[in-house]
Amino acid sequence: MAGFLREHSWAVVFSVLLHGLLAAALLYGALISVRHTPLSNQPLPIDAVVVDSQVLQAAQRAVTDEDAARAQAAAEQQAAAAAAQAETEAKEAEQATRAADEAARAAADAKAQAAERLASEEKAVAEERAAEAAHAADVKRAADAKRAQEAKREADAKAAEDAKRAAEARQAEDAKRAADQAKLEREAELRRQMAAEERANAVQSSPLRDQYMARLQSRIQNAWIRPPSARVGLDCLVEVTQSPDGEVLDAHVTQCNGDAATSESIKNAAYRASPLPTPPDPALFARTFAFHFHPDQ
Amino acid sequence: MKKHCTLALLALTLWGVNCRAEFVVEVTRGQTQAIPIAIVPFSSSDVSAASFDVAQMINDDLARSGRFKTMDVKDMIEQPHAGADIAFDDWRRLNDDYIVVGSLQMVSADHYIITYELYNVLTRQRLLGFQINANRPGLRLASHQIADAVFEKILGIRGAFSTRIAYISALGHVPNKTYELVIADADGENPRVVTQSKEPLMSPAWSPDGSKLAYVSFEDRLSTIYVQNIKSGERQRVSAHAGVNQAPAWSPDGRKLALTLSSRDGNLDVYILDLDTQALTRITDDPGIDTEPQWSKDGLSLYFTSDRAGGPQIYKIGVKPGDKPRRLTFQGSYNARPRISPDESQMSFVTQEEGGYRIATMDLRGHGDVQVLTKGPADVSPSYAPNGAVIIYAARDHGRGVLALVSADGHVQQRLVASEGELQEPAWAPFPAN
Amino acid sequence: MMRTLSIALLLVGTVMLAGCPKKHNVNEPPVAGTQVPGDSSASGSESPSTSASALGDAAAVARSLNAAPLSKKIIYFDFDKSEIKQEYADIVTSAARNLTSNPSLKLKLEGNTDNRGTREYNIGLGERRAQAVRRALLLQGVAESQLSTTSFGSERPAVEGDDESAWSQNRRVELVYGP
Repeated sequence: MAGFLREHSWAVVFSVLLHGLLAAALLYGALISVRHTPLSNQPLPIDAVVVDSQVLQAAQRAVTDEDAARAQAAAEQQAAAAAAQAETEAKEAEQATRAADEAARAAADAKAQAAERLASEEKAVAEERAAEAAHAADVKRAADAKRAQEAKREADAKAAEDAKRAAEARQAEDAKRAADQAKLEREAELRRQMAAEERANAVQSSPLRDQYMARLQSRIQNAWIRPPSARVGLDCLVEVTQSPDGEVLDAHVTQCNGDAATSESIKNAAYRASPLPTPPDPALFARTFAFHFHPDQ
Repeated sequence: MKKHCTLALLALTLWGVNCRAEFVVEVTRGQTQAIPIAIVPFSSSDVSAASFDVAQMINDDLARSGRFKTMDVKDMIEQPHAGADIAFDDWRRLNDDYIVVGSLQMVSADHYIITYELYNVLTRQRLLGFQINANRPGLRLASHQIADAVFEKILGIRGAFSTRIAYISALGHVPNKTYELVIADADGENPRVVTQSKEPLMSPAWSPDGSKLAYVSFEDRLSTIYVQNIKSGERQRVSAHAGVNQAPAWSPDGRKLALTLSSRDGNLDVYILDLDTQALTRITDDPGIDTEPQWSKDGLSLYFTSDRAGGPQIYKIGVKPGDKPRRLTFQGSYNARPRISPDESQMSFVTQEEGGYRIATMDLRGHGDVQVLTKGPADVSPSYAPNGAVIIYAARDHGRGVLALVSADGHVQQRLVASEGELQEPAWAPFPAN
Repeated sequence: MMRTLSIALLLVGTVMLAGCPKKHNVNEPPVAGTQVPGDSSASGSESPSTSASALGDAAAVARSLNAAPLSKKIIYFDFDKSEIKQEYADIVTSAARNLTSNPSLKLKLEGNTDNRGTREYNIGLGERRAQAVRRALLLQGVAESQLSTTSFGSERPAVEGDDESAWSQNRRVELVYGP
C-alpha cells in the first residue's frame, strides 16, 4: 500500500482533491435545492399539461421501441421542461399583463401543440418504424422460418437419401452375401440331393420299399368300400397329400373312368385309410403320392 | 429314367427339382362291405309329429338293401338335427362315413314338413339338403323317397324304396284254398288286394306305365289272361282260347302281350297278341314246350324257355317272321323263366343244380358269365327291381312260401315274411312314370 | 305237427282205399256202366249193364263217374315224365270205354305236376301229361270232340308238402267227366 501510494502519488492527490470538490458541491447544491426542487416534480394544472399527459400516456402506450421511448421520454422531458418554464414565466409575469399570460399561454399552447405534433409525428414515425420493424421482423421471421423449413427439408431429404443409399448399399451387400450363401447352399443341397437320390434309388428298389408299398396297398384296400359299379376296367387316380405321420391332409380324384359312386368311394377310401403307415426309411416318405385304382377281378 | 434324372438335374441345377419317380400305390381290390351310415332320429315339433319315425323308415330301407350298415340309435353319443350341430370328429371316431339328420314339423293336421340333410363325415361336405311337404298318409312315401335320394347320392344308383311289388298270396289249404293278387310297398307294407279267387291266380305282370296288371286266372277251371286297371279295378279278358292261356308279358311300349297258347294237340308255343287289333302272331312252332316269354328292351326280340333240346333252356328269338331262335344257356340241364334287367345288361333265371332250384344271373353284355346267387332248394320266380340292383324271388322257408331279396351281384340276401298265407310269384313294379 | 299228422292220415287212407297199385284189380263197380273191352260197339247204343239207362243223361253219367274213387280217376306219373305207366293202363281203358259208350259224355283231362321248378314251365309239363292221356284215349277210339285238356301245373296240389311223398301224389292227370 505504501508503495502504491508512493508510485502514484500525484494521481492520488489529484483524485482526493477532485472528490473533495465534488462533495462540497453536492453539499451546497443539496442545501440550495431544498428550497427550490419540489415544484419541478409536479404536473402543472393547465390544459397544455393535460394534453401533455395524454400525449405522455399515448406515448407510453406506444410500441416498446427504444427510439420511441426515448423520443417519448425526450418529448415528455421537453414538454415538462417547456411546461415548467412556461409556468414559471407565467407565474413571474402574472402580475404583468394578461396578454403576457395569454401570450405565454399561447406560446405554451403552441409549444405544447408543437410538442404534441412532434410527439405524434415522432410517435407516428416511431410507430411506423415500429411497424416497419415489426413487419421487417415478421418478414425476417417468415423468411427465417422458411429458410429453416427449407433447410430442414433439405436436411431431411439429404438424410433420407443418405439413408436410402446406405440401405441400398446394405441391401446390395446383403443380397450379394445371400446370393453367395445361396449359391453355396444350393451347391451343398445339390450334393446332398444327389447323395440322397443315390441313396433313395438304392432304397427304391429295396425290400424296404416293397414292404412299405405293400403296407400302403393293404391299408387302402381294406379301407375301400368298393361299389358294384367299380368293375374290372376301372382306372382311377386319387392324389393324396399326407403329413409326416401319415395323416391324410387332402385327397382328390385326378382322373377316373368310373361313375359318381366310384369316385366318391375312392376318395372316401383315402380318408378312411388315414393315418397311413409310416415308411420304414424316411427316404421313402412322399408328401404327395397317388393311389391307382384298377381292380383285377 | 435315371439318366434323364441326371440330365435334368444338370439342366435345372438352380431349381433343385426333385426328380424321383412319382410314388403310386396300386389298388386292385376293395371290400364289398356295407357303407357305415348313421340316420339320426329326427326332431319332431310335437307329439303328433313324434308319432311317426322318419329316421327309422330310412334306416330300415337302407339296411334292407344290404349296401349300408346303419348305426344303432343307442350307439349315437349325440343326436344332431341340423348340419351345424354335427361334431364330425365324434362321428369319425365311431367309424361312421355318412350321416343323415333332420326334423319333422307338423304345420297342421294335414300338412307336415320334413327337413333332411345328408353329410359325408370324412370330407364334412353336405351332399343333400331338402324339405318335403306331405300329408299324414304321405309320410311313408316321403320317407321312402328320402331313402331313395340318399341311396342314389352315395351309390350312384337310383333307389327303388318308394316303388311297389305285386304277388300272389294263397290262403288256406287244399281243397279250400283261396288266392289273392296283392299290391304292396316294396318293403311289404300297405298290402292291398287287387283281385281274389277260389281258383289259382298266376303270373302277375306290370304294364310299363305301372297302371295295369296282366295275370292268369283259373276261375272257370280254365286258364284265362286278364288285364286289370289298378286304380279303377276294371278288368278285361284278353285271352281265353281253348286250352292253355299263360305267361303274359308286356311289350316295352305297352301295346302288345307276348303269351303262351296251346295248340289242339296241347303243344305250348309263344305268341304275340296286339291289344289294339287283337291280332295274334305265332312266334315259335316246335314240338317242345315254349313258354315264359320276355321282351328285349327294343321290343324286337323275345327271350323264352324251351325244352326243344330235352330239358328246359333259355333262348332268344327275333319277333320278325322267319327268325331262328338262339340258345343262351348251356350250363346244366334245367334253365328256365328268364327275366331281363331294366338296362338289359343282365338276365336272371332259375337254374337247377345239385337237386335244388336256384336264382342265377347271366351277363348279357360280356361273355355270358353265369353266377348262381342263391342256395335253394326251391328258389323261383325272380323279378328285377326297376333300378336293376336287386332281385325279388319266391322261396320256401320251413314249408311255407315266402318272398326273398338278393342283390343283383349276389352279395346281399334278405327275407320278406308274410304274416299269413303262402307268398309266390312276386313282380316288381316299374318306376312311376313322371 | 297237425299238418304232418293230417297228411299222414290222408296218405294212409288213400293207400288203404287204393290198395297197392301193383295189386290193383280191374274190378268195375256196379254203378259204373261200362262195356266189356273189345266190343265193336261202333254205334255204341247198346249196353248190357243196368246203367245203360243213364245213357241219354250224360250229366248224370258224368256225376256218377266222377263219384268214383280216386283210383279210377287219377293217373300218376314219374318225375319229369309224361309216359303213362302200365299200372294205369286200365284207367285209360275204362275211360275210353266210358266215352265211347256215351258219345255225349265229355272228359276233361287236368294235368298237374309237383311243386318243383318254375310254375309256367310246370303248366307245360302238366299239359304234356294230359295230352299223353288224351292220345292214349284217342288211340282207343275216343272221339276228339269228347276230350279236352287243361293244365294246372303246380297250382293245385293234391297234397301239400316238400317231400317225395307229396310230390308223387301231385304228379298226376285227373279225369273229370262232364256233359
